[in-house]
Amino acid sequence: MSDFDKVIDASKPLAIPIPRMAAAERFFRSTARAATPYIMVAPAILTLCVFVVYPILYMIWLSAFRWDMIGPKIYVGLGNFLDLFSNQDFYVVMGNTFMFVFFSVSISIVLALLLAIYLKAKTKINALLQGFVFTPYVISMVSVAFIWVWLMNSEYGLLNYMLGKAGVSGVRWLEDSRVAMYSMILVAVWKGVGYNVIILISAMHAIPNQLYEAAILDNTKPLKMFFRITLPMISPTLFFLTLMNIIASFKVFDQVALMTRGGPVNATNTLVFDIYQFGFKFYQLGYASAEGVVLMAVIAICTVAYFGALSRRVHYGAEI
Amino acid sequence: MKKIFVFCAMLIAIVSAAVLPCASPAAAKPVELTFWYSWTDLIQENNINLAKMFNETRGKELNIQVTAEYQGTYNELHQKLQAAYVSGKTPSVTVMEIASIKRFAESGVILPLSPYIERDKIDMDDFYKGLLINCEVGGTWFGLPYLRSTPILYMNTTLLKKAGLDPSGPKTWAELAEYCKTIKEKTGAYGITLNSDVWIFEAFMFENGAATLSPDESKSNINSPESRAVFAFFRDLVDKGYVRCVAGDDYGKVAADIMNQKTAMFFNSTSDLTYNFDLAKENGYEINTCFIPANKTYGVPTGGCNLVMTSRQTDEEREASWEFIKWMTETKQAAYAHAYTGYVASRKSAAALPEIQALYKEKPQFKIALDQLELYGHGRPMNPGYTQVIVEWTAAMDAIWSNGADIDSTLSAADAKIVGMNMLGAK
Repeated sequence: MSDFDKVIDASKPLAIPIPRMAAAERFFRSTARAATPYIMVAPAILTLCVFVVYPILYMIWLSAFRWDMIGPKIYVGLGNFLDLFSNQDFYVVMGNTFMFVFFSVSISIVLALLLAIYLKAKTKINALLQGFVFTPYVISMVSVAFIWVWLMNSEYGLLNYMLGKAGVSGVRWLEDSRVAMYSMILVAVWKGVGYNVIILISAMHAIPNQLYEAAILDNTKPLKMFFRITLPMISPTLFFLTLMNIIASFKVFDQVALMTRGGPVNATNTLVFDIYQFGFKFYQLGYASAEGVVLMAVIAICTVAYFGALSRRVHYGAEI
Repeated sequence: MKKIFVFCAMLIAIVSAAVLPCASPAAAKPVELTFWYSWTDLIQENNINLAKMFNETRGKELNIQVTAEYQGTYNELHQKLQAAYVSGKTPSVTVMEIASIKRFAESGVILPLSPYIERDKIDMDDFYKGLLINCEVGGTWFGLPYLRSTPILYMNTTLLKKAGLDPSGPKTWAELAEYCKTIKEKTGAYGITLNSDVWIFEAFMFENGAATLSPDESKSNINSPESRAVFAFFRDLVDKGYVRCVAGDDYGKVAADIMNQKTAMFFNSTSDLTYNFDLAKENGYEINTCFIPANKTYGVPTGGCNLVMTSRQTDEEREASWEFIKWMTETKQAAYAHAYTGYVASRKSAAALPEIQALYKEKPQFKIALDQLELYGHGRPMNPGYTQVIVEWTAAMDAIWSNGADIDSTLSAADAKIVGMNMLGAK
């Protein structure tokens, strides 16, 4: 052991004299030290409580009452949930919501993946194309809805005009109850895919080039490279993106309210729009809250199931 | 030296600014009222103009100042009023869609007007009887008729003449069907473009001698023979290609057909009379209006809004609000709103004014709505659960008229749902 080591021998306490403090002061100091982090996060926690936790608890509490917003609250226990589950429309609405979530998310992610592969090379034309693909995401949903309502107008719409040139007779995009939901999915994908593309491209750019170089030396086929290198390396991003897409799709409201108002014949009525309808059109706040509780539970279950099914397959970090 | 001078000047300025207003003779602070209204365009202009006129005349005399605020559609306005009531900050006076008045009256959001009406001896007989039905809840007045309308049949007479038809319009359902057929065959345009609008459907029900709800408003007549007859009549015309039905209650799609002259006839509120005249002029065709053709009888619901007063006000504010409502519904103002928008004249004395009589000579279409109202005007259901029934009714129209669903099974399912969910029962 050298002299130098002796000086900073970590096994012994440092011989710096600590000034003696009164017990009260020591207590105060230690409490202050312990409290500091809580004080620091208090504004954030408080905001969270006021704007997230309290409304959730209030909603759960409200779901046990019959209330029209201005009259007295009448306690009904689980009555609203019984009403909800005995209402056939609720199952239609659930079906619509799941259909919207499944198709809009799966199409959007697959399409985004393909576009990302196509557009990832850093060229000027690709930068421009990325801009084009991303633009719909930036436009407000209000404008998007109005544009598409006109594009999809069965008499005057551009889509039907072009289909007419190709010999297909008028599709009633938003008026036919069998077609309307697919039209909604089309618009949702068109609007959302750009964001996914940009995120996936940046994830692909983060993959170390050595991996591809090594693969090329081994004469690996491009398809195999995609499945063995690209996909595993971007899987954390893909995992996160899909989850966010699922949650956002469950909450679709503006698009429905602006384009179809849930019609025709309930074909595009989704859970959040139904909540709005019961809450602010029929003034049945209790029923609407019960539906809100169900929505929360469904999203929670889906998220947990999604994590359970896929989180092990996600490949975090590259060991080179 | 200069600095001191500047400092003194500033000091004088500040002191005088603070003192002078107190020194001037104190004018009594005016009572400030907010007035909420719906819709844009001509209706909005009418509301703003009237509020301004009030402030400049009666308001100035009585020291009341009214601020008019736009609040979206009727439904949006009602939502905001609810929220405002819960949070304790309501407008003083608001327009209110006629079918919603009961809900707000029963929950105490709006005040009875009867005491004021009796005190100031308002001549209620001067209002058209059909308009007063939805002003009253349980024998008490809660509103006065303001921007009120009925649906009428609009016709593109340019297309009608092209098809060799009488531009004064069809009188019966049979003639209506005949018109649609001839128009389609001769001009290629649709006879009617129809959206799924329950308000219009209410007219058809009245014409079949029924109504959308039973008289005590506890049952819906959606699956009644009368209702089925209406569904079947238009379904037949749709199947033959004479009538186009667009899904949803969004009037925008109908408007596109009107502008492009793809349809010769359409049902719409009289409130858009002036607007439709302007539209016709811009697009180079002529329009006419007539009663909605009769089946067993003529009959139309009334629509639009009344003026109501909210309850959370001081006595002084209530008094001021009443003055505003009273002024807004006086003969002269009723005539102004009528001519400006096409909403019906709410008072008989307004329709009798020379300038309105002159208007009727020039544009007889304005009078048609009034005659229809006077002779065949009905009220609208006021059961709060009706909003939910309307959604079912709209869905049934979408299903049967624009999605080819079977009439009997659709309507019995809808009826079962209305009963099963106790939509019209006590909540």
